[in-house]
Amino acid sequence: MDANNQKLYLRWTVNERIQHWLLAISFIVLVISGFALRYPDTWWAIPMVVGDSIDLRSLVHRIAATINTAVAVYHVGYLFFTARGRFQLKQLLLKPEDFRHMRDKILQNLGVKTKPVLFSHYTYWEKFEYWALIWGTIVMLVTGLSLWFENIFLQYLSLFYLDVARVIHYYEAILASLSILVWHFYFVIANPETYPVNFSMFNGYLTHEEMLAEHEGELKSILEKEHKTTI
Amino acid sequence: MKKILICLGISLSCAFTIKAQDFVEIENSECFDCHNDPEIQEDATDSTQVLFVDEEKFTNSIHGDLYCTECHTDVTDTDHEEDLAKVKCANCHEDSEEDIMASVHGRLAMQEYPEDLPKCSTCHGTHYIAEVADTSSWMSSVNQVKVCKQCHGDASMIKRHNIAAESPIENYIKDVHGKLAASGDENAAACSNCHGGHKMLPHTDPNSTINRLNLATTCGECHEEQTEQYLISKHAKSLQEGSLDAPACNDCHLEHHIISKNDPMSPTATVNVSLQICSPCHASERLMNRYGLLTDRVTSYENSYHGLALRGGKATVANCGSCHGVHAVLPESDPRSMINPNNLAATCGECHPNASENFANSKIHLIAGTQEMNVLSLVEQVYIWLIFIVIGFMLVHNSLDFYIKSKHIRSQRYYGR
Repeated sequence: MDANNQKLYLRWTVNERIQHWLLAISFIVLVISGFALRYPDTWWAIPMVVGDSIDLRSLVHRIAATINTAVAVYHVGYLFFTARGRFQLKQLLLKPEDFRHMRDKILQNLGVKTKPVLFSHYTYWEKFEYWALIWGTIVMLVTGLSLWFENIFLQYLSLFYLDVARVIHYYEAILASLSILVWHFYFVIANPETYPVNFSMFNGYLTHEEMLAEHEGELKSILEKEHKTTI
Repeated sequence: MKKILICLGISLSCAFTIKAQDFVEIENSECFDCHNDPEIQEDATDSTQVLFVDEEKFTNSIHGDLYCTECHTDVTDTDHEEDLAKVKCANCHEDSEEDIMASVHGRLAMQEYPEDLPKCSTCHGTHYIAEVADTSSWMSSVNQVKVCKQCHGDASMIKRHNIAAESPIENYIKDVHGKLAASGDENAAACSNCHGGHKMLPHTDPNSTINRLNLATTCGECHEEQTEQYLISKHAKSLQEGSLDAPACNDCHLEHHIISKNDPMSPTATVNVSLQICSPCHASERLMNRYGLLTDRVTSYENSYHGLALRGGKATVANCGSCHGVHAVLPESDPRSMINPNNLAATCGECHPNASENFANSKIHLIAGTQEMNVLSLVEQVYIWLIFIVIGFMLVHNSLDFYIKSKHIRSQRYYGR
């Protein structure tokens, strides 16, 4: 219950929130320092210039990459070795209904369908984003590591592989940054029903109204369960 | 006894001079009776007239064992005319005069400004001439630039004679040679070490020491190792074969502002080599087309991992010279070349010690049209389309959602439904 005596629904545990914010901060630092490496003469790289050298931004990029990777590795362990993690993984698995939900939501927004779509714990946009993040992290990790430890990779692979890795690392970075900007920031910030921000990543809870707006399916099943137990 | 000494003096001076001039033997001490007194200078009729001669300094000079009258031949008696004729150094130094008259300085005498012709004394002084190796000599490394500056630091003189080089004296003073000379190093290159002494010729003259084709020999006087390497290079070979666009020493190192490669302002500094030395020629369509060379080497380098890091100021990263060599730049086909397939592993191995055979098999410069570049372009194309489609879909999806939700909230706010 919150101050207004409204019922609150647990969305994120403290552990999950720490994972999110470590990921978020390291991601933003990676984006800024990464593009500063790709565009060395750019004005927004100036705070990262010490003397005439690019060294600081590559150091910053690698520290952030290490944090990002550590969170990713921890997260995989979390998914498989904790009960809460296994619950989350189960909720996150893609199902055919997610694609149907997307189709119906678009049709609803277009005014073709009037029946609202009832989302359960994760909406299709959250699931898609989650798996895109997993994919992006793997791609960036593999290409990034080969550029970082080039002398190890060059023992087994040709120099051309590093060129491919460099190109992929660059374009995947653009894709990832834009996805966060356009997709994630819309749903958790710019979305008129959520604005100014979805607070659950700060306090861990969703309000009844928020549940109703985006997770009506889950809300219904929770209420049904409560109803049964009270009877 | 005195007679014997005089005879000895005459025969000695005859032996050391090429063309002995008739003169009257008057003991120097007799001259110094008057001329060693500083007060005698007060009798000078104009500022150029030298009446006082320091006996000790003269005796220690390179001409110290000559009779005064050997140069001042018009003095036949201690009681001589007030106005003496100009000393003719060529009476002895005949070759020097010939060289000077054939040099760029000597030509002045025959052209519009004969008064600008430097005299022997302009450069060497008069009574106290020392050996060049002696730091008191006007022509020693430490002093020479001051002597040349008398004319070559004079803006009106430079303009009058159309001397193209930009502030050669000021720049030389600040460069490696000038600083070394100023520090008193007698081996430091002074003006004449490169330009020649009496026989100084304009760079357009095929015999000039600073002619493009002779520069390697001139610089090689001191920089033997570098010159040896340069002479086997493609650059030197092309130049000697008549491709005058091919670089000589000064095209990379400049002339009067030669700065150490350890100075980050130097074009030869690690971070500047690629952009300031190699690019001006190797990225020039006009030059490269003339010799059938590719221009996209430079851009392909700039966009490579090495190039990006270098543009960011990282000095440890490979520049053009790291792989191609600095002085001994040779084509891939030459077995001595650092980029010859047999040497590539060693060249790359300088920085990448674990590099395998695979490494050397890769194309270093990714040039349009090669198979590698086609694969890279494909990857790029796929990603560009992916970005447009995915982000495009997101924008459309979210814009629609935004519009519907905003409309809904607005109607709730204003109409309560």
